[in-house]
Formats: sequence, structure tokens, C-alpha cells
Amino acid sequence: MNVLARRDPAVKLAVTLAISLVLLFVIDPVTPLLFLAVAIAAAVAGGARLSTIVRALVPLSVLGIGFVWSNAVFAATHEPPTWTIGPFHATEAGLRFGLAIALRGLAIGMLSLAFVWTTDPTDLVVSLIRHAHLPFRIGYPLLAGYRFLPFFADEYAQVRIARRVRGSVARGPFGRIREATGELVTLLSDATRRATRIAIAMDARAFAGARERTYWREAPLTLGDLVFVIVAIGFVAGLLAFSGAMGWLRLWDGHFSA
Amino acid sequence: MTSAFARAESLTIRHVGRKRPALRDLDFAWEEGERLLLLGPSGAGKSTLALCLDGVIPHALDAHWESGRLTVNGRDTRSASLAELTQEVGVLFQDPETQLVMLETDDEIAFGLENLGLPRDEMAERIVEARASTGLGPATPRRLDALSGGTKQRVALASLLAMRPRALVLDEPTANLDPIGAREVITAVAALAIRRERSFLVVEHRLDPLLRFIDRVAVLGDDGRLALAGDPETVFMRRADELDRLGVWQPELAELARLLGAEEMPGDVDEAADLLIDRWPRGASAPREAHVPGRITVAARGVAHRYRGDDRDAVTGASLELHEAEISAIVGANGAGKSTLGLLLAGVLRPSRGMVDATADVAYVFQYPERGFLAATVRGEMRYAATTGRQIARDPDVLLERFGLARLAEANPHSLSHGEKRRLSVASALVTSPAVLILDEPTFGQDLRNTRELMTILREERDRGTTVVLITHDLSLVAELADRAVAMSEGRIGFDGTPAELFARADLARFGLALPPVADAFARAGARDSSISPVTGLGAAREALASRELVRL
Repeated sequence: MNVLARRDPAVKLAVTLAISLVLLFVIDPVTPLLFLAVAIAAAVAGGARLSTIVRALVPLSVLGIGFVWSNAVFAATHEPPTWTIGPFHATEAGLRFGLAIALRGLAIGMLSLAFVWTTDPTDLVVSLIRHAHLPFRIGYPLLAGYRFLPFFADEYAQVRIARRVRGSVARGPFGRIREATGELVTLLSDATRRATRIAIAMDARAFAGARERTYWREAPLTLGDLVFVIVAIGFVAGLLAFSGAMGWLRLWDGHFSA
Repeated sequence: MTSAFARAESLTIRHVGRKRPALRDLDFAWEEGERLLLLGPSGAGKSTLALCLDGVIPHALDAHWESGRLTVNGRDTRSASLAELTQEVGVLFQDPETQLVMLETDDEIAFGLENLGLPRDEMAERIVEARASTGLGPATPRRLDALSGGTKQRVALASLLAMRPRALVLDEPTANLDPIGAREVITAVAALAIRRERSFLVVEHRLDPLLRFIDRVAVLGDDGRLALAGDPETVFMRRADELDRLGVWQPELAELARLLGAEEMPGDVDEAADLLIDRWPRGASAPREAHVPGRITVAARGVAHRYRGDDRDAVTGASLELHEAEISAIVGANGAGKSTLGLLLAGVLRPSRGMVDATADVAYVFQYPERGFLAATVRGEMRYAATTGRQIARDPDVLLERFGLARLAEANPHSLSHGEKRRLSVASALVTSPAVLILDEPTFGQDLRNTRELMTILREERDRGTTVVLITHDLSLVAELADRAVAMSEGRIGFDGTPAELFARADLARFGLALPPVADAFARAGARDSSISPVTGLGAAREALASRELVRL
């Protein structure tokens, strides 16, 4: 296991959330770019392959381009337009702000993925229960639900096939809405039945009666976790200071205009 | 007080939202160390009793405790705690997918131990012990989603054993598994039962592999009362008529023994083979039904299908012709491509390669019928075909009557029991009088009565000229019903012939199949005495005997 996978999941989650929160206040495009570079480095250190990273960046970038475009063209600025593309007028400030939002999204997205890729879901739930006061009566059903996710996609496909065979067809927008509702109701009743059964099976193993619950998986907080937090704080402070020194850094001042 | 491990006294339990009690005035005793088989038709309250025994009712699942009491190991289950009761009785449920909670094997086994608050070193000890007694070795993959159904069910069993219950309830533990998975679980259970370390209560309908391990049989009736009880030989050999009336499954080997006029019940296929060697009239064989296939209704030529996102074909290179007035069975292990082939034949899935020619309309009945329900009432479901422009060829009300659903005509289809949903899905498929009827696992979860009724209907359909295709794991059904068997493995059709020819193959296991009990007994007898020729099932044995006198000793 690599250095990131060994870290306690609750600590890792807290660090990821904290960095994301800091990034929300950054409105220049360069600083998020620095954080994105760090996030990619973290993902690589966590064992992600470059091809996986690139594949994850594509949808995030498409979303980002949308942000750039809408901000460049529609942002409320008082500057004269810098470029004119057909009927659209873009301003430099709008473009910069759009880029900032897009890159911020990429950086937060990549950080979250680095977290997901290096975290075992069971470890995460156990660590959240033990270190973050997540009630175990919520944590374990979440884990049981997580097991179901792959089944849902499968079941949805089968429900659609089954309905098609019976002759259900969606004609027009209303037909489509009706069909979607029917599919959803069927899926939900399937899911409810499953959930009831699994709840019974959990209680048949004394889940409902559990008081002084113990844990098979250990979730120790180590010196390594402390070092990890310190290094993370150091990185964030260092990057912000560097960006500030270079004159790139701009923080949100509470106003919604570029 | 006797030494009963569990005792119910006029126990009446009604589920929330139901009018009829699931259990009614039940008086029942389960002795310490006893291996008890619990039988009953669908809806007789078998699963409810299981949930009461381990305290889920009333401690975790709300139900109306209308009267009576239930004691387990001398304690009233209403005053004992759930944690105490789960250490008395562990319940293994039907579906491995809905009783596993965690993502990895050891976490799963530890889950119950964590709830009991055991220290970690004791958990470690118990995990090792539970894995050993269910044969989960170091080679078993760690992640549960990488396991087969049979192995998942063994993990579920291990996680109960780790809690060291004094008794185990097995509620249809093999119903969701293919024959190989079922055998895997039964072997694990048998290894436990033979040691007699704890009491066992088994609810099951594949009875033959269990006969050796059962001390007593208790049968619940339709009304949730105890209908009869006794040792297996008395119940299965001398009170078979009553069982028949109640509509519960019986061991095929006991039925074979009765056909042969034996008094004693064979405990397994080898004893049944002994019986055949003693009593089977030599030269008797089932009159070969001359099955003359009719016109071709559906033809598949070299079809393949790959689901989006998969890296291999679910079905590949499959060629098959279906005929009028023919019942074909598609058999094979889970994941062999049976359902995909069925959907291709029905024209529901488009082949990635090859082509399917259907000269007639095809109806498809899914394994989970509720997924295809489209109307708000049972009657609406029957008439749905008309709203899609198809011709209603048969009177829906007559069909509802025939399928025992007439009194439910105004009910919501989703509110029906599993057996009723199943029958509704077949009835609504027959309404257009399709030329081809494909059914996926039609007997899954059905009791004897429903299965027999379905078999009668399918035979009638065939005699009307319908092409019937069954997708099934149930080789006893194939033996009784099918004219033709198509066996698949890894997406390919590996065999296409009569059921008798399929059963004669030495490589059945390649298709994830195992001989059904009667055919197995004949095969074993035939191996020792070549004058006994193979017979596929009870129906064929009955026909063979019809013309011959039994050898009386």
C-alpha cells in the first residue's frame, strides 16, 4: 500500500474537504491550477494510472469549458468587450473568472478522486464511525446500500426490457414522463423489498440489539496521519504564499462581480 | 416441561397490513439437537416461524403477536433480548445477495460478532473456526462480489456459525442457486448436520439430498396450523396422500420407492439404486414418445450478443431452430447465457452478430414478473395487450379463473404473493395466444401445487401447437416436461438433444448441472446391473411400470 492509501480515511476526508473549502475562496485562475497540479501528483502517488487520470479529467474539463464560456460571455462586468465572436461579446475579466471557476472545479474534482481511489469503503465507514461520531446505525446500512449500487444499473436495464416486452412504449413527452415514472416505481418497489430483506438479515445478526459494539477492522490514528495533516497544511499555505508573492492570488471579497 | 429446545403454544402471528394470520394457533416443539424439516405450501408461514425463532419478530420486525407464546431454550422470546436470541438461533435466508452486508468475507463473518461486542482476539479465533467449518479456505477471494452464489451462501452460513448459535434455521438456502451452487451449500450443511452439534430446522423443497440428515418432518397447512408431523419414513412413505393434498414438495426418491412398492424409504441415491436392483422389472423402459417436431417457428443462426461495457459475449455462435408443438428447455449454470439466448430468441435483444428469424409472435415471461407489470389491477394487466394494439385472443376472465386469480381481478398486481405474480405473468402472456412462449425460471419459488398446475398448462399449450421454451435450473422439471434440452456453457450451446441424451452425458458438470435424484438412482443402478436402462424421472418411471408387473420379492 502506498503512503496515501495507508492514511486514515476520516483524516484524509477532512483534509480533502478543508482544501476544497479553501479553494472556494480563490477567484484567480492560476492558484487553482497549482492545486490541480498537486492533486494530480497526489493521485499519482496514490497509485492512479495516468490514463485513468486523463479519462477522469475529460468530463470535468467539458464541464469547465461550459463555465468559461458562460462567464466570459454573460458575466456582469463594466469593461468593454475584449473579443467579439458572432453575436457574443466576451470580456477579459469574465474569461478570467470563468477560467478560475473551471480550474477550481478541476482541482476539487481531482482531489476528491485521489481520495476515492486511495480509500477502501469499509475502512472509510469504520473510521467515520470511530473518529467522526458517525452513528453505526447509519454507517452500516450505507455500506449495505453501497453493495447494491451495481445491482441498480442491472435492474434498471431489466425493468426497461421487461416493460418493452409487455408492449409499453413512450410516445411523446407525456408518454416518456409516464414511462419514466412507471420504471421508477418498479425500481423503487424492488429496492424497498431488497432493503427490507437486508434489514431483517442484519437484525438476525443482532444489529438492532447492539449496544457496546466492537470492531474487527482497526482504524488507528497514527503518527503518519499527523505528519500527513501537517504536510497538507504546509502545502496549502506554501502554494497560497507563493501565488500571492507572484501576484497571482485573488481571494473572494464577498462581492458577486468579476 | 420436556427438553424441547423451542416450543410454540397456540402461537398466532399476523403481519402488518395482512388480514390473515401467517401462523395460526401453532403448537409445535423442536427438540434439543433435533434435525427438523419444516414443509408447507407457499404462504403457510414457514419463514414467519423462522423469524420468530431468532427473535427478529417481535424485536426488530413489527408484526401483530395475536396470541400464544414461543419459548427458545426455556426463555420467552418476547422478554429475551435480540442479542440473546441470535446466539440461540441463527437463520440462513434464501438469497445471498440480500443477507450479506459487508464488502469482504472476514468483515462479513465479523459483523454479527461486532454486534455482540466481542473483543477482537476472540473474533479472530471465531473467524478462523467459521471459515474452516464451511470450507472457506485461503484461496477464497477476499471480496464478496467475486464469489459465486453458492460460495456467498457459505459465507452467510459462516457468519452465522461464528455467533455460535445452539440452533440453525435454514430457510430455503439453495432456492436461488444453480445446481452446482446448491450442491456446494448442501455439502456444507450436511457436514454440519452429521456432527449433530446443534439443532437444525430446514425449510427446503429439494428434499432428496437432505433425507439422510432429517430426524423428523413437520408440515404446516395453508391456514398456518401444524397439519402433520412424524419421522420422515412415516410422513413420506405412508402419509404421502395428505402431503399431496397440502401441495408440498416430496422427496422424489420416496415417491420412487412407493412406485416400487417398497416399505422403507431410501436415504440417498445409492440406497435407491439398491432398491431398483431388487425391484425394477428388467426390460422396462419408458415408451419412447415419438416427438414429431412441427413447422419451424423461430430460427437463430450464429447469433451472438454482447452487453454494453462487457468484454466478452454473453452468447456466441448460437444456432437453434424451435418448432411448433415442442417444449424445449434451455439449461446451464448461472451466467452461461441462458436468459440472454431467450431474449435473443424473443427478439427483445438484438444480436450483435448472426440473425434470428421469427415467423410468429413471441411472448416472454420474466423470472421477476413484477418488473413487467404495467397496469393498476390484475384485470388491467390481462387486458394490457389490447392497449398496445395486439389482438386479445382468449377471454381474460376465463384465464384468470384457470390460474386461480379470479378473486384477485381488482387487486394491484404488486400486492400479490410471489406465486400469484408468477401466474399472472403467464396468464397475461397467454392472452394473445402467442405462437411462441418463452418462460425464464417458471418454477422458481413455486410450491408443488403451482408447479403442477403450470406443467399442466404448458402441456396443454404444446398440444395446441405452441412452441414452449423453458429457461431453468430444475432438471427434474426438464425430465418431466421437456421434449428437448439445450445445454449452454460460457455463452455457447454445447448440447442439443432429448433430456435422456443429456442425462446420459458424462460431462454434465461442464454445464453446471447434476443429475436429478431419480435419474441419478437409475444411472447408479445401471452401472452395477446393465439390465437396468436409464430413466430420466418419475414420470418416465411411472410409464415404464404401467405396462409391467413389479418384481415382488
